[in-house]
Amino acid sequence: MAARLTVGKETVSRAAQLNKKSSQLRARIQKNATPYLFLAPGVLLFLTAVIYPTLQALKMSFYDWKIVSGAISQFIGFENYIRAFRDSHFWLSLSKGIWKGVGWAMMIFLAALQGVPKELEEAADVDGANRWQRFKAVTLPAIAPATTFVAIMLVIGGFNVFISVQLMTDGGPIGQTDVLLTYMYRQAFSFLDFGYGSALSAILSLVVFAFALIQLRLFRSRSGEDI
Amino acid sequence: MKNSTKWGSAVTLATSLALLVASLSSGITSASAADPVTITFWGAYGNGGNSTQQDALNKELIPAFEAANPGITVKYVDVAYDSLLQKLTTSAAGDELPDLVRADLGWVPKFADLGVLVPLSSKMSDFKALAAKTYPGSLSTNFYKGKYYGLPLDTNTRVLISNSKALAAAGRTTPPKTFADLTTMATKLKGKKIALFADGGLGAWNISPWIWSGGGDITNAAQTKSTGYLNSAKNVATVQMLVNFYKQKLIPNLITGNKGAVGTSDGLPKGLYATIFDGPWMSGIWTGQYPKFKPIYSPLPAGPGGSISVVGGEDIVLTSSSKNQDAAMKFIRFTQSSQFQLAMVKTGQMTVIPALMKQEIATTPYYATFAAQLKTAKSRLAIPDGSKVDGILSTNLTQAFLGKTTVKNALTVAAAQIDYILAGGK
Amino acid sequence: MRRRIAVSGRYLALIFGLIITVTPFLYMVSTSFKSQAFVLSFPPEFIPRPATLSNYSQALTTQNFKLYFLNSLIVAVVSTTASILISSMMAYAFARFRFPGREIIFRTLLIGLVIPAVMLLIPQFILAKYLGLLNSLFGLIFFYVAGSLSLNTFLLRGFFASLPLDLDHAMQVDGGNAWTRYWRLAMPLSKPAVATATCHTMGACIRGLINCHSARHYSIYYFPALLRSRPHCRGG
Repeated sequence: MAARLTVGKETVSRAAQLNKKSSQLRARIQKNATPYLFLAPGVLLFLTAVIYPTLQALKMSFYDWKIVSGAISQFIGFENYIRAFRDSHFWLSLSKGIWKGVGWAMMIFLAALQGVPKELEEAADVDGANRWQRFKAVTLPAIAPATTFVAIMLVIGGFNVFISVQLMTDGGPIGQTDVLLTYMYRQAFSFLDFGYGSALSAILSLVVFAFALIQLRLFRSRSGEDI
Repeated sequence: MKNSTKWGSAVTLATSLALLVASLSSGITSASAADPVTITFWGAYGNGGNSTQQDALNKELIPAFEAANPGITVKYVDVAYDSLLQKLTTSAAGDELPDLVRADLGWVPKFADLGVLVPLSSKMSDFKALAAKTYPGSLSTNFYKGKYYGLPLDTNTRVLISNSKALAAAGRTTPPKTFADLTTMATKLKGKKIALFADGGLGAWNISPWIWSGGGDITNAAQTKSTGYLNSAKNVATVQMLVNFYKQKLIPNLITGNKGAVGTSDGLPKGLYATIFDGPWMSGIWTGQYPKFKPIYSPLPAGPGGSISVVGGEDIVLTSSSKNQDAAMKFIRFTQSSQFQLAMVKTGQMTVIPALMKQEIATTPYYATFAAQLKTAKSRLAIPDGSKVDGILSTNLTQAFLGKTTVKNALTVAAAQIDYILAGGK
Repeated sequence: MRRRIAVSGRYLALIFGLIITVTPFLYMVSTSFKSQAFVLSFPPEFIPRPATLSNYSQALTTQNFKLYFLNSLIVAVVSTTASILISSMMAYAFARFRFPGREIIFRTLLIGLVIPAVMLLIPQFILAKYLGLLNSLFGLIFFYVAGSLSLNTFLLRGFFASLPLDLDHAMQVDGGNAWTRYWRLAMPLSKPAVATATCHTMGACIRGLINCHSARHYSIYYFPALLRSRPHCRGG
């Protein structure tokens, strides 16, 4: 039987299972290989095609990276990172990128806030909740879906900005239109300074990753699911 | 049983998907291995949607070369200009470069520095003879650390282009020939809402012609020092002249990066700008969009240093990973032939060989001014970080134009920053 | 009253968004009917005068157009199908199971969203070389699918999690195993989310492909490449 091969444990216990209460569902699947089977193709592909190259890029950020295969790159420790922290242009572009995202995110939040049912807020008011409690208990959960959405789109939006800026202005005339990604791109592909470009992207990723995690946690704890 | 069918069908689906994918990949990678030698040549001839250059190459020139060199096949791969540098960089990292590349002249020192190009001056026995036939300015773009890494393939330069109506408004029938003419013209154009001159930026491509014509330079001849050269008295005078025009609104703020300002390709035919510096490609833009406009081409206004313009164009380079270097060098020689050069002239390019000027002008008469200007035109700094120098010049000069600092100060700061780049800094 | 304001506010925002999104597309279509000399005319014209079909005839008669078009179609369809299948499976696992390593795997996936793709170009190219994936459609599909996994999983996981658990229980009582519950229950109920993910992936794929081949073979996608200032103006 094909089923036995793929989901061994599940088939063995199936006969018994049928009569059992559905509340045992979770307990059973916890021990199961099923989730791993569902994850396997995606995780394998992801580790190979995204995580491995990411680690390579991370490695570059600690070198004065010579692009050509076979050339010897010099290990320079955190020099690229130190340079990034002193690079005023980098921080300017970073703040600009975030600023762009903020304007956009505010619109989504505003739209979501308008969707919070007035009745709920009023009910909370009657129950004697103060402003902050009301915000925590009513408003925040109501706008939670918008929060996750914004968290994702902030990131994706940043990437899309790159394409239009790159096409229209190439970051020029004097880097005034640089967003972070065009600046990074120029470091890497115009100046062939891949070590520095990688360091910049590592910093950016870390910043955005932290943002995303915070927002996710905020959202998840509201919807009762644990992270 | 029902469940096992489900799993079964999933497996079938996945398998068929994998098979489909595998068959696709195998279909694409099958290469023709029967040819004795195949050389691959990357370029962006098709850029701008113009297929005539690619056609000339694929249908006329490459077949002619292959007929004359039995056993050699040339495979031209057209890459969009915007992605060519990225593709070259990525390929250099993966050791997958083609044999030959039609490279933007600014990329030659960059890739020579990476060590992925063959120094043609050491490898081609007839290099000197070939090089001697080309414009010196175009040839010098291939020079890096004592060797030449390519040969000019096509070229262009900037000349003065004027609008006759705007000239008439300044009481002239001929374009300004000298810096002094410009200053005279400036006084006559005041208050007439016609700009004396317009340009789209302050990078090396824009400012170098002014600096060289003014008798100055950006660095010393050895390209090792900028301080003492860029901030020389001659350069301060030249740039100050431009800044004065800018302050009188005779140079529009397009030059300092106002994206909303009318571009030079529209402003000149509309008579908003009296003169611009630009290349031979403008003619094609105007014939479509402004069919009635008759541009006047003339040499750049001469200053104390003469009328010196800046060289643009592309070079042909050979990669050190090429396994067919002899065959590739044969093709490089072919690109320097009158057959190749004149066929490309017909498609709108300028030849790199001044001896072919007569035939070139017979095909395209307005090239005459450009060809004459090319005789003395110079190339920008041939260093790997040339694009950083662009950024330094435009950032600092913009400050001076906007009146936020003096010309002398801006040039001194820029010179120090260029010194840092020349010394290998980042 | 407040509700009415909220509703009309949302409509206004939607209409505004629609205009912003659709205008460039309409302009692109209009541009595809212009001859090259008029593409960059200022102020921009929405109704091409004179209109021409030459871009289309040129595209259709270009030697390799059919091949490019077919290749693009294959890559886009296969990548999207594979991506939706693989990421919805992952999303289902995250939404319906608890298992050791769930958090770490999910957070690792999140990295795919935050890493700038441009920095992965070179490592991915070298990887593709060693896997023998250069110059193959499969190579393209491989990286497109990998690149779209994070976002799709993220989107679908949220949707799957919001489906009532009771339905799963009911189906399980009827003897439905995990695959059945995923394929026959979660997927059909998540059509809107799957459709969104499909559009996203297909769009990303096509954009990527345009970068892959040279854009000029697709008359209709011609516009962006021309928007950039003419490179030769900067001295070539």
